[in-house]
Amino acid sequence: MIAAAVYLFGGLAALATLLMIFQKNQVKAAMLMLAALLSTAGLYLALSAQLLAALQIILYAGAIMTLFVVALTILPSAWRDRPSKGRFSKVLGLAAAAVILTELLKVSAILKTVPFLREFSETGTLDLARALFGRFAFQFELLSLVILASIVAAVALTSKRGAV
Amino acid sequence: MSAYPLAAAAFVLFALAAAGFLTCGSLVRMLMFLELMLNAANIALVALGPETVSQAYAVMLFAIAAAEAGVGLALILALSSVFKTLEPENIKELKG
Amino acid sequence: MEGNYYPLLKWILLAPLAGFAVNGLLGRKFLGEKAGGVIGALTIFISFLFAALSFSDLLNLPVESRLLRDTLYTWISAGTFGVDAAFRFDPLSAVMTLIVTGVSFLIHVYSIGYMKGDAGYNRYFAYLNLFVFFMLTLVLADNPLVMFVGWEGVGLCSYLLIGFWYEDPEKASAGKKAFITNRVGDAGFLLGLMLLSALLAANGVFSMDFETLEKSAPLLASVRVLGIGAPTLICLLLFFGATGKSAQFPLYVWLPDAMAGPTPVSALIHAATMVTAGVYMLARLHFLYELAPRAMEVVMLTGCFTAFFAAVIALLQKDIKKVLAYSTVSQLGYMFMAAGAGAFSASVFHLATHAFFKALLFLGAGSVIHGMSGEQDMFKMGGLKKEMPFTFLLMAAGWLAIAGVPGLSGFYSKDLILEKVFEHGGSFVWGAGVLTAALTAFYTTRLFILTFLREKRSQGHAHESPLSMTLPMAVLGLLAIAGGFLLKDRLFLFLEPAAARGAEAAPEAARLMLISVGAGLAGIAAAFLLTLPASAAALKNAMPRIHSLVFHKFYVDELYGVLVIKPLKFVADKVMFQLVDAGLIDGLLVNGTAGASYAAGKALSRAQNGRLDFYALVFTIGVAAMLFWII
Repeated sequence: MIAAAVYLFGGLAALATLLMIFQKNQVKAAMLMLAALLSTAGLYLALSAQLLAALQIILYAGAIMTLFVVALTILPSAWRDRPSKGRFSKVLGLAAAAVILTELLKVSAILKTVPFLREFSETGTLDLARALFGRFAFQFELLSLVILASIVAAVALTSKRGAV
Repeated sequence: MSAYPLAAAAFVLFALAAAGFLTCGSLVRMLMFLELMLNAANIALVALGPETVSQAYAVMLFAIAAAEAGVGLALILALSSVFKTLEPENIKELKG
Repeated sequence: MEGNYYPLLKWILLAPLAGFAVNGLLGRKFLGEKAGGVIGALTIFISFLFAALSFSDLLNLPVESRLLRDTLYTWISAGTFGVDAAFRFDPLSAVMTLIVTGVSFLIHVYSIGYMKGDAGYNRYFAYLNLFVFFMLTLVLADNPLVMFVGWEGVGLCSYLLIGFWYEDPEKASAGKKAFITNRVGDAGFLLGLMLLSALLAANGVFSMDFETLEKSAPLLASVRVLGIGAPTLICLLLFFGATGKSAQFPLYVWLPDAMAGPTPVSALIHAATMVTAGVYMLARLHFLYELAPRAMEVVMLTGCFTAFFAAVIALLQKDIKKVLAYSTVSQLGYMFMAAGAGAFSASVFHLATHAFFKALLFLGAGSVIHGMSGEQDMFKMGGLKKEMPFTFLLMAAGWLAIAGVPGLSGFYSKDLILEKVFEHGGSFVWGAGVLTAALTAFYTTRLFILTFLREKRSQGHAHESPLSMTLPMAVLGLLAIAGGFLLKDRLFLFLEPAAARGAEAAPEAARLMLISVGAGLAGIAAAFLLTLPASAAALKNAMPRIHSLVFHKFYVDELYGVLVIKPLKFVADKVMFQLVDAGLIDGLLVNGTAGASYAAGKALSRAQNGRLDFYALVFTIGVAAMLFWII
């Protein structure tokens, strides 16, 4: 059952990404990305990480995706037709990705012997909260700093100052 | 079921996103594929690690991804006003 | 070691070296002409005195152990191979040293008058002293390597002195020709030495002084190298060196050109001393040559051929000095004939008498040239008998000596050589020798007639030479006349006390003597007849082509030019210079490495094109490669 869900959502995400590679229209590409992200949320659901699924939808699909679409709107140059890159470098890129995939799969072949015993269950949200604010409290607080820094950076980069 | 299909799913997503990253022709596109790569890493983390800990880390990764997307897009905005183009082939200021 | 320790020997050498240093360093500015000349001659006189002292001390020793030695220092010491800078004074060295220092001294005195007024006066005496130093090193050496130092040194001084007036390119190139031809021979000499040393070392003999060589030479008698017996090969190689130094065929071509130098130089170097170095070397290494009869045959035949060949060329030369030059080549051929026939003492005897009369003839020629203010063409001279009487008389002495008139020195030595050659070499070689003797008489008489007798063909008045020039000539004249008679038996007793001279009054010997004397007289008579303008012209018209061939010295120089010099120049210019030096080394290696670095740099700089996607691609490829390699 979980296996079927994994195959379904994983396949959806892969398909969306694949189509995104060949998509020329920027908005359609953005939509496909949205599809991929939503499939990922589904995948999280299949893995009994309901909170993560929710966060995925809120943050990735909701915030990040929106940001991308807004950026596409603001940047007029993003609409222009892009020239196709040299065929050779494209092939090279695909080849490199393929090699990486092969290697990673080779490494993970060992996992065939490890059984996945997690059953579909509720999220241990309480445990998650206890872990986040207990054991990983330091990292959590640091995260807030990271976000702060990114906000400052974003504002600094795009404000119209004299010397940029 | 073993953990293999999960790992495979994550890695396939990563590879596809990487392929797209290397063959697209616009900076914004590259950033989108970058997010997808990070997303794939997230999946791997959640699927293969111990339950609670990996989920905790996954939450943190969400935040990081968001921050990165924000900063990246701000960079692209700044770059576009300087170079007037968003294709990486044409941004050759650092040539030589 | 055998031989008594005799410290005086090194001073025989060092006096001329001191003369060279004084004249060379102080020169014209500080010494001036007169002092320079006197110092130059004085050092040689000191040398001669020391040599005479050593000689008398040598005579006081018992006959079997007549040997004086001195070692200066250890020159080379490399593992088992060791050579000392050592000198030996045995009868052979004594004879050579006395001749060298004696004749040198006379020529130095002569030069004081001859070179007066020349701009390079002090340089001349410096070079001349240096030459005597090297020649003495050669004859006093105790091992072949020190001898080779002297050998090379006299070649160097010969070059310096032939090209003395170096501003004239012809004279300078004559000097070069002499040096280069010598070097070709020296290559053979060095090969022979190396072979000798290597073979001896293989047999356990490591020191190279002549004593040891004489004792261990028989060890090599059975060794074969490249299919030839080792002694034969070594002797042939050493003889090749001797052909270069002593102007035998094929390396004689430098000697006629060497007449470009001042005449006293020709007298000293190219008549009396340097060219005899080859003969001395053969006499010194006689034990090696006696082991190689085939090599001795080659020596004899080469000497015979050269003697005849050079005499033929000398018949038609116009320049007075060139006649004497070819005459020297011819007489050296006689010496090698004797050495090849095994009569080493006879060749040394002829060396001595030749030094006397040839030096006399050259000095006389110099006197004539000096008196005629530089004219050297005999056909422009004539009738000098009245204007230069003293020179006339002395040249007559030299002429009669070389022609082999009985009683004078040349007669004794030449006759002895022909006798020995007949004994050991057979009648063909002897016949050639007799014919050459006739030719010798002919061309020398022709020289004498054209220069001194008959009518005067030149304008102006020739002045007689000053006393400083005629006095040495007079001494040489005395030696030329009386030397043979005085030295005849004493020399042989001195040089080879062990070999008792057999009954010399064999009827065979008397008959041979008569024939050779007859040949000489016939030559003189023929010269008187055939140098009359009418008969000379008739002879020339009868055989025009032969005349042209002989007059042009059989085109040997031109032949060498085509066979040797042109290919070498081609190789040097086209191959070595353009191909190897400019092309390979400059172009490929030097400029090529620079170009390659530049190209490599340029190629690598293409990786820095500033494009983000390219960098990302490279990054990914790198990660993929790493993963591939690790996993």
